[in-house]
Amino acid sequence: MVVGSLRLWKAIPERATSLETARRPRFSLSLLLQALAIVLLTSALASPFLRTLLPAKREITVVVDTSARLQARGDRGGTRFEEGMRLLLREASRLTERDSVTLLWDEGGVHSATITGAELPSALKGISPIESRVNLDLFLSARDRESELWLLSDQLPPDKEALFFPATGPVSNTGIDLLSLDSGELFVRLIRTGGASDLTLEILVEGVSSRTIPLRVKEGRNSWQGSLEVSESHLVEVRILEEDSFPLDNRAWLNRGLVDSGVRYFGREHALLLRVLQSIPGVVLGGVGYTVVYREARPFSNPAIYVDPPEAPKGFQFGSEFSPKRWHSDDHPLLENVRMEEMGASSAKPVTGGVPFLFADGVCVGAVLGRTIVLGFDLPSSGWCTTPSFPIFWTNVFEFVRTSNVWNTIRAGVPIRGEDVVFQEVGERTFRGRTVGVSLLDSHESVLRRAPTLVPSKSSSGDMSAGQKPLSVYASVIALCLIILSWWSDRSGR
Amino acid sequence: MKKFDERFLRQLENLRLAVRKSVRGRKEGERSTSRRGGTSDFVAHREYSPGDDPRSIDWSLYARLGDLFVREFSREESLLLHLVVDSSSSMYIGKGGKHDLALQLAAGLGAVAWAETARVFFRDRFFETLGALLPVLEQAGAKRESPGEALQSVTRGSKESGMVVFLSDLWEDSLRKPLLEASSHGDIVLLHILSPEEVSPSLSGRHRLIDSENGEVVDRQVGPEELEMYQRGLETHCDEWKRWSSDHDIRYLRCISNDDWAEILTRMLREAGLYR
Repeated sequence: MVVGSLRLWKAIPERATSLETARRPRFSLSLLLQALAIVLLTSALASPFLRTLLPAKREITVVVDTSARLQARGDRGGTRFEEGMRLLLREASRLTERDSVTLLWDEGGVHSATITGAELPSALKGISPIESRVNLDLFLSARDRESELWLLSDQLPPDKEALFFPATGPVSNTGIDLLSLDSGELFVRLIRTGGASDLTLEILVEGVSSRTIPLRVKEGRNSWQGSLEVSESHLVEVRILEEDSFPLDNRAWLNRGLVDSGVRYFGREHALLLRVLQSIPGVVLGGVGYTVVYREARPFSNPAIYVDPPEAPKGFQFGSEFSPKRWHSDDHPLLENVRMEEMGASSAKPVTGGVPFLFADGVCVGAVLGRTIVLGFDLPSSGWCTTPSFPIFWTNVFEFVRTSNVWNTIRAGVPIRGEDVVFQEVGERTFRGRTVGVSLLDSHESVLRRAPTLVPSKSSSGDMSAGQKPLSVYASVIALCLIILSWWSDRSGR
Repeated sequence: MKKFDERFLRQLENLRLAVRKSVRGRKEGERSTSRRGGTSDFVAHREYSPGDDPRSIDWSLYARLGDLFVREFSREESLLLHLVVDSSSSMYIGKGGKHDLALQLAAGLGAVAWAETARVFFRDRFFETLGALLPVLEQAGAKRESPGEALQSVTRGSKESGMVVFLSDLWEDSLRKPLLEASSHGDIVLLHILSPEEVSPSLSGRHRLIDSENGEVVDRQVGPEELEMYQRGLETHCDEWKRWSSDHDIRYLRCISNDDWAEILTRMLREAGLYR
């Protein structure tokens, strides 16, 4: 009998039954079904089979790792990829037309092909590595678990039964994995494998060498930072002059002014401010580019506008609060068309540091340093925030900090932010009529390791002797049906 | 069978007229909220959308920016009523029809609210007239839904305070949290509906009992002793809800699903002072 809730019934203790009732065994269909299911599952584990007259065909999933780092030099002079492919082709030549192969690889998008074993060698010859990272887990999780797995990679497959074709080679490599240029400061991060080394960094501005820097790099992460004059240029390249086993990560580029700025918002919610930010043309709330921090202490490495923060950001200092009466500015672009008589706040803090642009009672309450702006007063929900000057000021802020001064990197295989464009190859390309640099910039691809050796067991890879039909699957399916029947039997109370 | 047949609609109309007579002469819409529009205080600017009153455009801002912005104001507003009905599986158990009764009471409350010029929402969807609400109530419960989620839809959707009426059999204690969250949106009225079989079960002998919500099964030998324990447990359960409601300023009422909906509603309205 179905009831609304068992809550009250469960609180009532079960009455002890009479001895006679307890002694008499009750037939339970559910118990019988469960017992049959256990017997079948146990049988399935023993891998029963029927002898057949026809030889069993092989079902194989071949996953080819086309990650950029497999272009690194292999042990025998070619690339790592060529090393692994040589071994894979040798094994593939043993397959026949009866064998069924699912081939999975990434070539700037996921590709798959279902072919016969005889077609595999020619299909493999058309595959080559790409110049970005491949998510191998995607292929390994998508494959048919019943099939044999063959993997060409420098990383081990998830199970020991797989046939592994190692793409291996020397590990000595230095790669550039991060670049940034802001307010005339260039930051370069390098990742090194294969022990400490000496190298030379060259910086080129619009293709012309600007400076060279000798560096000693240790195993792991290293960095270099320095000033760079780039006033009228749009392309900066950083390259490692010394050749190593993987040249693709030895060059990286910064490009000026590619994308519109996004804005990230942190701190307390201010409904009017959020509404204005959402309405500024070309600005995407939630995108990456500029940061607005409202009444929160938050250290940032990127420039931001801080509105009434509890502590002064780096490069600024606050004085004692006062009640501002009269506001004025010195004709700064941030305050163009902003009417001073519409400005107002109940209290303000003097701001020192940076370039002052807004004053109250003769005291600086708004200053800018590079692309970091600090306002030393709150935004009341009435007053200034409801006047036309408020959206005008914020439009000015984004004009002031916008794209013409932003340097971005473009990574191979990754869409350009805000655009529907993906460059698949590293190097200099044309985008919107100008030259841009496309970089690898991926520490995952710059860290080279030796591929381990994996020896599968004799009973691995699902080899079945010709003429045997496996019954494990059937036994397992029947057991599952019995379990479902048992559950249904319990539910219906029979 | 339709939940809202002719007899129901006639009773509803009579009740609505009776309530209207009771409240005639009372001042309409005494609450001031932050809802936009009207002739009261200026609140803020927002971007112009097609359909906005051109008289609310701020032309001086347009001269500055070249874009259209409208001024927003606050105005006085009438009561807001949210009706939330528990549509979980337990509400369909029992001959009395707990869910049907809940929907009839929701329709009745809606009718009374319109008589008071309130704005009526079923969950988070606004309805202007009873004619618009009834077809939706007729179809309500076609999909089983967790009552907690139904309450949360009110919390998520509504930014204004008003009244939330929640009709349920209250078998889940987990409803307390979403009820408290909903109470931040205004007053809560909790209508506890039980079926006659839940109030006085007429079981005897050995039974396999199945929970309608989670399928859990227990076997119980039921006799007079067990029934007495059940009754005590039920009273305790109802008293706990009543006490909890009182502690959290929530109005609690209990009824049985085979009672007449109009009588239940009249009792509610009398207690609220809307009907003599």
